[in-house]
Amino acid sequence: MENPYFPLPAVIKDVIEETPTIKTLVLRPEKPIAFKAGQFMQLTAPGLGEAPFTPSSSPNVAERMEISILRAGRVTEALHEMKPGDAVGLRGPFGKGYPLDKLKGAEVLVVGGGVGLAPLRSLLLALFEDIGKYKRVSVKYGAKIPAELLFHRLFDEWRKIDKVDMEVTVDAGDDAWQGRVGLVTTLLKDLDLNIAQSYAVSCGPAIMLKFVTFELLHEGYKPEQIYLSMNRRMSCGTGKCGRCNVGPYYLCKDGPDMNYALIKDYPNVFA
Amino acid sequence: MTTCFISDSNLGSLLDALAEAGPVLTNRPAADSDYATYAPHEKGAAFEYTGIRPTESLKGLLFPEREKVAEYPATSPEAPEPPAPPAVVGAANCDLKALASLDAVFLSDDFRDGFYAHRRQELFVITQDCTNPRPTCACTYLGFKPYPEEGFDLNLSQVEGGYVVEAGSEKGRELIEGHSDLIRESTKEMLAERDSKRLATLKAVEEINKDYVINASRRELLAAGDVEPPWTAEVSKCVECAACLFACPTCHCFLLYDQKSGETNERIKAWDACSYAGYSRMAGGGTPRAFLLERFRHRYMHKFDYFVENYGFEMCSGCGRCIEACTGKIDMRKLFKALESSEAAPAPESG
Repeated sequence: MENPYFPLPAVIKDVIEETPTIKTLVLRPEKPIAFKAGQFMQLTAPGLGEAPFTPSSSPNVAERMEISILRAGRVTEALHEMKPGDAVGLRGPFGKGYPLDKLKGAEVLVVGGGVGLAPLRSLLLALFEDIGKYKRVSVKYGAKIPAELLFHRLFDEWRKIDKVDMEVTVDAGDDAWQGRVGLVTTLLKDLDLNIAQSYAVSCGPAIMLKFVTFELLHEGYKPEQIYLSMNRRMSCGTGKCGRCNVGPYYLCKDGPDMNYALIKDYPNVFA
Repeated sequence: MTTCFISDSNLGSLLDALAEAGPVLTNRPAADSDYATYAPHEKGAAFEYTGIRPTESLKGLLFPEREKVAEYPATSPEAPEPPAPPAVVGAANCDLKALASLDAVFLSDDFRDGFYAHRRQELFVITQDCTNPRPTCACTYLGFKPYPEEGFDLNLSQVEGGYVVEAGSEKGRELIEGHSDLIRESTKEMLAERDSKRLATLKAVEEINKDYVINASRRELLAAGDVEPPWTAEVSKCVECAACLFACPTCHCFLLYDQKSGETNERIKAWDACSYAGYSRMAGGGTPRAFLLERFRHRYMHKFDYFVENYGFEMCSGCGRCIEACTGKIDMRKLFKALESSEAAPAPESG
């Protein structure tokens, strides 16, 4: 019988050291896996366990899946030790993905923190591939220190795309850093977007999501204009094991990108 | 529905016949306490009617405490079908009502869980009317009756000399028709005896629960928020043993974990409990429900608010196992009553 808990085999083709704490695994699944931007996979470190990750690559390239991983605990530690040729497992895709239809014709504000730029990259690639459909894409990104700016080699390439602008900041600079210093929320003050025609999509640590949300509401965004990439521990990925809920919503089924208006009154939204 | 009558001794013979096809669990008095429990039917044994639900629910037969759900790497992603569960005799109506919650979660079309679905399809259940409710019984509090009217293969209602038997499914009908020598027609007197016993039990459970009756819905009472006195008074008694969650026939949280096994890897699906601090703990921080009060409240929110939002009914059968099992003697009926009496309670709707 069909088994929703079986991890499909995938081989690591390449390991890219992005930052001191983040590595990208380039995977080749045994069979190509079709996914929508923003849907996530449960990645298995064999014999150890699974953890949820949103691929950062384009959904239009199904045989090659890039997953960027921050070293944070047991499973991610094991994934960081892996080398090209090693086998991993994949289950998914799960979740609803980014609400691209909602974003059409809008000024899209994308706010990322740290490794949060990894899932957002799949959103950005989807937006860039179809840029005619969106009024504007404005990216605000922050990391703790310059060395932790994920995908920094791509920023200038993105800035060249028509209707795309990007501002970057770090919490603390270093001797070489010439750019802005300050939390990513500082990039949200006095936004030059047409807020009434804008949607915001944010991904990063829970504490960042909390203050980004407050700042956006302060700037005039309504709750229904804000999408948050929520973080929760996950297990089954299919809405059955009970773990990843925010109120009645299961992030694995209804998210992980949740419209803030739907979840704002439930307990522990920002954990 | 059509009924018939089976005598006490013929019921024993019917169970013997059922046991030829596979293991049969029967509800009988426990050897060392005044609880009822399931144990395997032995050939020639009489059925010892308890009139009350057993300690064990049907959950463990459909969704085992721990089972291996995958071995990898493997040549095929398919899994073998799990073995059929034993036939069950003597489950109560609350046990049937609880199945609706598990079915809603595990039988959903997307990512169908065959480990549950296959067992559920193969389950053969003979239920019984309750006649012997306990102070913890709360079926009427949830709007259910202490006797089954649907959802069973066969139901037994104890009457003089034996049982009125009702067939509720094709499989139940087939068993009866295949052993027509063991049954007789049921008489008007028998049905009247069954009905009067049912009414008496219904009234008894209502009497047990009369001090707990609330006017607002449980969902409304929970929406009133984190009202301090009722919640903090109850949570102070909670020791996070999770007995309520494991004993509960509708609770279904589980954890998938992997382990190495010789040259291969195994994925195990095991019961988990939302009351545990580590249940939703995340590497890198940001654990929701870090405080016990939040986890304590979440159980009620899930059962009486979120589940209602998602499936349209409460995730509770009123079986009372949680009240019976609780180390701290926490009783949800008392909690809801206290929430209603507290200052933040919503005004009851008129009409």
